[in-house]
Amino acid sequence: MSYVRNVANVVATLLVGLRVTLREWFSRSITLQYPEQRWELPRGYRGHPVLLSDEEGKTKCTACGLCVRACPTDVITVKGAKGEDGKRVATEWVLDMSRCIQCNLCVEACKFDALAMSDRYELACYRREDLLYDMDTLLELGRGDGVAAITVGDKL
Amino acid sequence: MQAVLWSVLKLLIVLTFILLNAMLLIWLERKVSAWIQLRLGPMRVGRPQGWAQSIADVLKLLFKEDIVPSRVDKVLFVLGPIIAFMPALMVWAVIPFGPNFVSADLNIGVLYIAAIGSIGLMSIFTGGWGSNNKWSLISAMRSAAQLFSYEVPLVLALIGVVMLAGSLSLTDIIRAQQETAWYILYQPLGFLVFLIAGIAEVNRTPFDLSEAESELVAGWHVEYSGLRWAMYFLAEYGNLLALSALAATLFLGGWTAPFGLDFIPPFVWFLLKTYLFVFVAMWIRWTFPRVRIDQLMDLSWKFLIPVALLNIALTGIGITIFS
Repeated sequence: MSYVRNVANVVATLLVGLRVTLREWFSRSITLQYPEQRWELPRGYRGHPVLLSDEEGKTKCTACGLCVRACPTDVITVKGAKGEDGKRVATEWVLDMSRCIQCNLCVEACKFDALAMSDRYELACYRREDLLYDMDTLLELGRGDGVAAITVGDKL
Repeated sequence: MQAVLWSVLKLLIVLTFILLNAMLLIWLERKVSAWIQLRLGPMRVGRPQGWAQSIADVLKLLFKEDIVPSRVDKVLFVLGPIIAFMPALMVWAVIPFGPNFVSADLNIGVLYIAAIGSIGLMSIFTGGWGSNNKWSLISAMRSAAQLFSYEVPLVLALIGVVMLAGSLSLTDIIRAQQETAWYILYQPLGFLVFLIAGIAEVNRTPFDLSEAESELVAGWHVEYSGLRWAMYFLAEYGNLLALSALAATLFLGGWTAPFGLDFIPPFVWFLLKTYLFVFVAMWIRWTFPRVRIDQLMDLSWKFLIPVALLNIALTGIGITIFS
């Protein structure tokens, strides 16, 4: 009798297993077809810093060097000069993305709202030099969507 | 003359059908496994749904280098995949696709299939022994033990069907089901035993001890690559298809249309029923883990064979009472 009960038990548990897989069979797949489909990035996502521009499309950076000081990995190079209106303006702003740790400290340090973190994550390239982002590139990226959705942390 | 041409044509149709279906089954298996695991499976080669994946795979395997390891038994090594392919094709000789569409309507069809089925073991043993590899040999030994054990309940399960139909010919069995009802209704126990033993016969999970990737690497085809490996692989799916076709023929009325749905051609009904079993086999494969070798033996000798004998006794009693 216990043999029959054992067999019945085995059959019942097998059916439970089959039911589980059948349910999964007809439920939606969770795979994302990556290049065609994209993730919706969370609001606080930090890519790498980009430069923001003012209404006229010029950089807000004054080459004060606070971001250079704040940077823990020393990847920012800034050079500035006096502009036509007598104010200092950045002429060169290079980010070495090969060493940037995307820590947001430069954004927090900036007093002129010239920097923000972008949500760019596809950084692969063929040559190491391509990872040196110059000012034009960073300004262009700063004009794109998905930049500076929120600023993480307080301004210093 | 016309009769000869017709039989050659039938043979060609059947051969193409099996090879195309084996490729389709490989794709289907990947799809079904993906769906069960909440994935998508092949999507890139051929849109929609990566339908050309198997074609790409076969082409790749065709162009691969033909490797024969240096210390193998060359004759056996070469012979293995060929023997594997043979029974997978030979079974189809007696399976009726439609009322007048059967390559050879043997009057001992069921016996023929049981006999052909045991050749599959030869291919595994030939390949496993010839490979000169301990995993292959262990796999071959296991496979021998497994197939010997499961041939018995498989044939015993078929006896119930034969008793009801009073014939060993598959066409006669279908006709008999047409007159009464599908034998799955008369033979639920026999069907269950047939299903379990059948899945074990074609070496599918949960009974794929001879393949057991996690312990034996790949079992008897460790040393095989390229086209030879592809032949083993296609044979495996050919066997699955043959088993499904057999189950559809013996227990689900073959090509006969249920509920008077005669406007759908018999060939389509046969395919539908066959693929129903293919799906069941895949469903089982992606649900259950592999059994242990002692559990495998226990299941056959201590459970399936007594149940199959009980089924024969019950069938005999039923026939005596009701006729």
